[in-house]
Amino acid sequence: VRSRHWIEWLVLACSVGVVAALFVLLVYDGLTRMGDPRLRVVLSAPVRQDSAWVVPLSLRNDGSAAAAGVDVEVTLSTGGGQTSSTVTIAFAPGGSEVEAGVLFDENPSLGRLEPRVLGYELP
Amino acid sequence: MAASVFDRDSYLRALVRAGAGGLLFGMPLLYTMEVWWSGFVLPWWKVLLVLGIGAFFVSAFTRIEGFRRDRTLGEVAEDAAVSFGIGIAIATVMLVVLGQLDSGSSLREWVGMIALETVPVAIGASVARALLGERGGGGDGSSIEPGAWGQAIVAAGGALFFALNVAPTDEPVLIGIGNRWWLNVVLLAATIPVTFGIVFYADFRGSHRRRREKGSVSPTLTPAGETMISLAAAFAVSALLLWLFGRLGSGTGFATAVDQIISLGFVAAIGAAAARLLL
Repeated sequence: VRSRHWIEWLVLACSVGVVAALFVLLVYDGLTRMGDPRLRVVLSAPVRQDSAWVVPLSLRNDGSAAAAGVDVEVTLSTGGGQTSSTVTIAFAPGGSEVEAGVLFDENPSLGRLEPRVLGYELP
Repeated sequence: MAASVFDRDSYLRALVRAGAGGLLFGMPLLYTMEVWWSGFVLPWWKVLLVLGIGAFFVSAFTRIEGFRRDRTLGEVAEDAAVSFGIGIAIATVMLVVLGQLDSGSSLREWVGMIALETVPVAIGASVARALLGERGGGGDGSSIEPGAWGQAIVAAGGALFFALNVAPTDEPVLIGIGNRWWLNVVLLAATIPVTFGIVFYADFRGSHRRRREKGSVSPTLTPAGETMISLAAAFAVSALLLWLFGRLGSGTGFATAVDQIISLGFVAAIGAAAARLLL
């Protein structure tokens, strides 16, 4: 066996390192995160935008499986009744957070906002 | 124990060549959104399986031609590891630059996408070294005739390498199930003469001519034998890839499965036939 040059050592060590890291992280994430998509919606403070109000929201998936075509409905209850807006989010990968927003014509700060996940598809 | 001299320039050139090959062959999949999505949609053990299959073929291609000429099994493993190292580096940088991975991505997105995109880049890197490497030197013109298993592995490697560009996309499914039944029959019928044509008449690198001159008689090295091996490898690899990417499963009807395997099999067969002669 001939002795290796330090460049060969360096390239080999880096390669083995990243391959091992990728392997370990993939298995670790696969074994620690179990089950179906677990979706929850977190609302942020409404923002005025031209004639409408935008309620920014983030959809979090704490499960391991990805969800596709996630329908999110946000209902605004005021003294005058209820209005709801919906948004469809194409993909919510496991363990991820996706930003979105829904729009209302009246100021959402004057009532109560209730988010709800209507359904999703398993891709 | 004669320590051979380390040629830094040629080693670095081989690394750059591998990187260039990885970029060249991996680029179509780095720009395919179905592969990004598969990174987090596929169950983790399937991603691991794709990595394992990739490692097997990278080792097989490395065995044919590596960074260094005097290769032991350990050195093949070493070179395969370096191919994967190059693959991971290129896949990571490209996915970040293409905006598919950022601080908001989960660990699963990072490892899943990088793992899947690494495989074509690493295979590309090893194929580039096998095909585009400097020939000759100490060799006698590379004339080790592969056995039937060796042939099957090389054919499957070519099929995988080629079909991987198409398998994760929606098109094989669309063609397979959307096409008129008799057009699928035509496609299947065309697969056989096209494979035979590439194996026999195209005869890249003149391997058949060389064998005829040497009077090679093994039945698996005849054009018909090689065509059969290429076709078998192509359809097996097609079925495997379709299953890995979730196109085939327990819920898939028999006719749908066959139609998809035919549509992807045509692509895989071209790769399998060409690989037999290129490598």
